Amino acid sequence: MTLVIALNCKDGIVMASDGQATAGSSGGPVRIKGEKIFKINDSTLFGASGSVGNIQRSLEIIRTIKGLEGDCNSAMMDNVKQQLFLIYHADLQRHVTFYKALNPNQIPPPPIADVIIAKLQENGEQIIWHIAPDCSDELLQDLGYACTGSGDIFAHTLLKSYEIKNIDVERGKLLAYNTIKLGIEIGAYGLGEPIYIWFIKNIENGIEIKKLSDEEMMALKDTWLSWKEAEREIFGKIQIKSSEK
Amino acid sequence: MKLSLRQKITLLLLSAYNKKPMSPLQIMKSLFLYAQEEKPQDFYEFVPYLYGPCSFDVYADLKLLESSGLITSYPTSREWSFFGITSEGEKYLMTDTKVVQKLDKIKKEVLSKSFIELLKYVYSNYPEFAQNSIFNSEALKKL
Repeated sequence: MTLVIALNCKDGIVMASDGQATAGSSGGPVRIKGEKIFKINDSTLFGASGSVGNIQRSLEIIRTIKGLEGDCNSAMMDNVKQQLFLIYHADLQRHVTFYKALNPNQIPPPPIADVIIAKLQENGEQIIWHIAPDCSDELLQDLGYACTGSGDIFAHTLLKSYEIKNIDVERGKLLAYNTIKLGIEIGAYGLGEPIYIWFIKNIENGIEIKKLSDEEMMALKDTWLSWKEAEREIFGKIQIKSSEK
Repeated sequence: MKLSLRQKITLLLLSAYNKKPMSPLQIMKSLFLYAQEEKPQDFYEFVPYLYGPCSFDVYADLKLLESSGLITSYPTSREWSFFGITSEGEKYLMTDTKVVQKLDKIKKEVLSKSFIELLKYVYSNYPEFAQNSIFNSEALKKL
């Protein structure tokens, strides 16, 4: 179970995920802690939901594609999709072959990967590229955000009311934290701590791409708690008392 | 274990005012006020952050002091983890009366305020540290 989001902020891209993964074991699926966002190069981040094996292989393939070091273009994007399709298709075939004798209702879901790539182009353009399990794709930077995983409906609900392109990366980190935290606390999607947050932004001497440190995460958590504390206190001040009704 | 001066002052803060536990934000604001009023050397450097003045080194030190058993954290119903000094931590306390009195006064002042009162107090006295805040200083004044 997973939730990965990417926010297209006005001065960069923020990616965040929960930290709980599901791995197979002979006795059934087990919960493990795992990172879901990875640095591909100095301007690109990768995040994915799906089965751990497919995510690992998708990451391996994408890391070997040299074109990703430069700007995204249609030839490079087609190359990525074709290479991913080969492994996804092979896995799907193996799955179908392996379970073909079973009643269709008993067949477990096939192993898939749903990928989000966030990239800062050399011309300053910010790209959020979603590659679905069937390798169809879409660019979502104009929408303002992308999300994938079992909690993605929850993230859509929370994020759709924000003008993310007008929010800076600093506030984007807080919005990302809020989305993942509430997804973990409220949604019954099997999400779990820790929360991981990365960002890519243009700075004076190039591009900064970084995962938030433990101390930065502690500060962000306190900001989030401050936000909630202020909400509670302000609500207490503005609500109409029964004697005023 | 050898502690830096700033770590000793953090311990002393948690020991002050009857050892009352404090949230990370109350600790941060108290250490900030101490830094502004006393200007100690080799102390935490504060930057304007999303909730006002913040030093990420305070978090690093809280983590270190907790893992060393000198302070402990208590969960609360509102998710803030409050920190308090342990008996082991008390062995490392400084005995500088002037510093103790100052921290006692600051802690008493900070703990007497609600969350928004504390923000208003810090933001109105040190507006340069409110510039990146998610809380609008002007709106806070009206509350």
